[in-house]
Amino acid sequence: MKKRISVICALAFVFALFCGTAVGCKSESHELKLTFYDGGYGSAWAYALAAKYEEETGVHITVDPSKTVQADAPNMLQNGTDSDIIMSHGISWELPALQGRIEPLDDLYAMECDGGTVADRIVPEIIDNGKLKFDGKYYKLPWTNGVGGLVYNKKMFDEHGWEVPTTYEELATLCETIEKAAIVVNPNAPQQSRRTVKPFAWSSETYYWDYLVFDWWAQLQGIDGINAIKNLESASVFDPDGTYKFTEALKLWTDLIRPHEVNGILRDYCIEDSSGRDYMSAQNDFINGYAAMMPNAQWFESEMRDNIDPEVCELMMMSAPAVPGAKTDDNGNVIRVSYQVGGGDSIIIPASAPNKDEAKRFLAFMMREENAKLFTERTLGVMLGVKYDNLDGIADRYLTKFAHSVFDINKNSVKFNLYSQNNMVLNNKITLEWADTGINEYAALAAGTKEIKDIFDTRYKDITAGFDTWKSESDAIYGADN
Amino acid sequence: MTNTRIGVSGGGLVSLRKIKKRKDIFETCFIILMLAYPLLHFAVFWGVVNFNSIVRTFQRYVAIENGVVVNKWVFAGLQNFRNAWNSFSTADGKRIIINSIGYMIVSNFISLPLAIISSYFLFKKMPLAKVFRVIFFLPSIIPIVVLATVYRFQFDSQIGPISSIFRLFGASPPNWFGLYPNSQYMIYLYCIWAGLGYNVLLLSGAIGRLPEELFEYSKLEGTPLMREMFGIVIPLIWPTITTTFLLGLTSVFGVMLQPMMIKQGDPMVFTIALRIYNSVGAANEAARPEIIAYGLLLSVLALPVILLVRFIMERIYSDVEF
Repeated sequence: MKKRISVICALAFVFALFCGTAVGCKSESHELKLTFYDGGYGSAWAYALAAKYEEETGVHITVDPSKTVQADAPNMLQNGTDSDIIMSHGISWELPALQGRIEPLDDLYAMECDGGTVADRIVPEIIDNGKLKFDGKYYKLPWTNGVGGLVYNKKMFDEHGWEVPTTYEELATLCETIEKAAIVVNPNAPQQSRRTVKPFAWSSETYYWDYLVFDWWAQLQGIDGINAIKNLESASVFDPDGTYKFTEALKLWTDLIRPHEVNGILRDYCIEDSSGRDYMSAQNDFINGYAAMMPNAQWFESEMRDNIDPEVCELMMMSAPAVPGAKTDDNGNVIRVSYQVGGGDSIIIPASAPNKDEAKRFLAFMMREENAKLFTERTLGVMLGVKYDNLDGIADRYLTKFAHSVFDINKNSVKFNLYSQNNMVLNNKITLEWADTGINEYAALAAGTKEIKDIFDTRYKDITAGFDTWKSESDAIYGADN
Repeated sequence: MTNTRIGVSGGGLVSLRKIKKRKDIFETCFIILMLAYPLLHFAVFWGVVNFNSIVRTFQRYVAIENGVVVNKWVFAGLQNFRNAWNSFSTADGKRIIINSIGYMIVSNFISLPLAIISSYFLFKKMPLAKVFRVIFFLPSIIPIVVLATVYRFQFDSQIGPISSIFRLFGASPPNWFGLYPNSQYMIYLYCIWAGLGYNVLLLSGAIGRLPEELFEYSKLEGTPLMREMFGIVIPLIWPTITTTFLLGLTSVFGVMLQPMMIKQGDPMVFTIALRIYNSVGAANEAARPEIIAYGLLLSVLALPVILLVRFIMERIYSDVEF
């Protein structure tokens, strides 16, 4: 009897294992797994697109938002994954592509989409600057066509009659006006806790300032100049006394942000201890009316939507004010530029994905204008890296003024990014802006503990010393012709 | 015994031998099976991994050669070691080493003495000793993510209680986390706060094992507390102190989570371990040999130092059996 019970138990165990394995198996054409970075864009867009795709094709999509997908991606690509599509920032896809770990997407780019091909749908500047190809093949789709810069509280601007600055001088004057007004935010608080509205809120995530400073850099350097730097012909492109304009853009930023005297009075335009604050605390300060502007990007509203009190704050994004010396067009107008936030964000299909063909069909579906609009709708204004003729068809309750301002900047600016396929960049030897270690120096510059000249003279010296060695080592990996 | 032997027939002896043989085989199989898993685990996850890593340090990756995708590893001589060595002398390299050595200094020369003093006074049953024991140990059982968040908020310039105290006295709170090296000092402070309980627990256990008679004798002799601590307690718990000190020494290579959680991976507060973790985590396989060489080189440099410190520590007080 005992033997029989044992045999039955063993069979049940094996059967359970088999069932477990069977559940893990996927049918080739009726299931997809979409893994994406669960950050400021949220996940509502993925559920909406998945539901629509299932309705249209009958294919079920497992939505897999992940906070760690960027860190997990190398292992997923190297060791295999059941995810059919990965969307994230910061995926180093070039070497895995060469190693055959990422599915080539040339056939996806040739697929029909809105009467043309998927390739026709991509924003041309992203095709030109984003380098979606490597070794002659497409391996990624762009995810978002991001906009960053200064977000402002429109309600506060309207209440106090402040104009949105269009030039650097106007921005400086506005900061002075706000600071001089000394508007108390919390008049009922004890004296020592009372705070006045500051021009800027920012946080320890200091790289958010990049979005404004890069725009200023591109205004000064010109898009062609930026693209020339990407080629890294020689170390001299980083010479701060030469043609490298990033330092000029930083100087304008430092002049504004570092506490300085205006008419004999010391002015600090930022909330106290900004560089030491957690970013959510700083964002809460901003939406609660403690500051008029904040460096941020297109995901801001989506990230904070549950906390915003419409009586206190209405978000808008402003175009980067034109700086003195900005490049102009033939008519003498300053060329509006916009740094493509998330220019390195990627949509890829792992070579080990179980349903690669279905994944491609889904991505072609996602690139259609109506579905791109659905993405924009559910992310409150974030735009995919595809062409939008307009925002018609997006429900009013989703289409905030913030979304409109993001759309306006994207539509009316020349987009650029700092993505480069130069071998030294791929080999992590050089970055185009700050030091290759990823350290930006906004906090030290704002506090006055470091000077631009010292930082960039040292950097230029290091690059000059290492350039030839880095180049030969990097060329040895990726080939001198890349 | 003799009777028993006589009583067993020839066939019985054979079957007894068979049973013994079977038992031996069973025991041998049992030992082999029990050892197989840990040995295999050791061989694969220690032996192969380390061997493979060491081999990698002498190789470099070639993805494209003469315009053709080749994806192969080739011999690189000592190039990775040279690059790793050169990275020590860069400004970033120096800062990473200094940050890392700081943890050892904090751990061994601030945290450990504090833990010894705290353990001794807890042992002497000072008022509220049990409450303090819980307070000391509490940070050790709370997840580091929660602890780091709580710690940062304590110092927040707008809502943190510590900054409020500064304001109460009309002073502006300093920029605790925004600027290096303040941010690095704040992480050290966190390590002292969060790490004290663990050391207190270890040392309290060691002090608790000391013979009660020694303290009775010390009481009869009227030995002052300080004398008792330095003359009796510390020499007798010296092996535990040595172990804790050596563990503190290895923090130069091991600390990673604290800067990661408190400063969200700010490169200014990178440690050796965090630098290695960040580089290995990246998808760029071609860059890995250099970082492995960096770790290996540091290990080779550190090993004699650790052995020397252990040698010296073991000679300060001789082991006492009790």
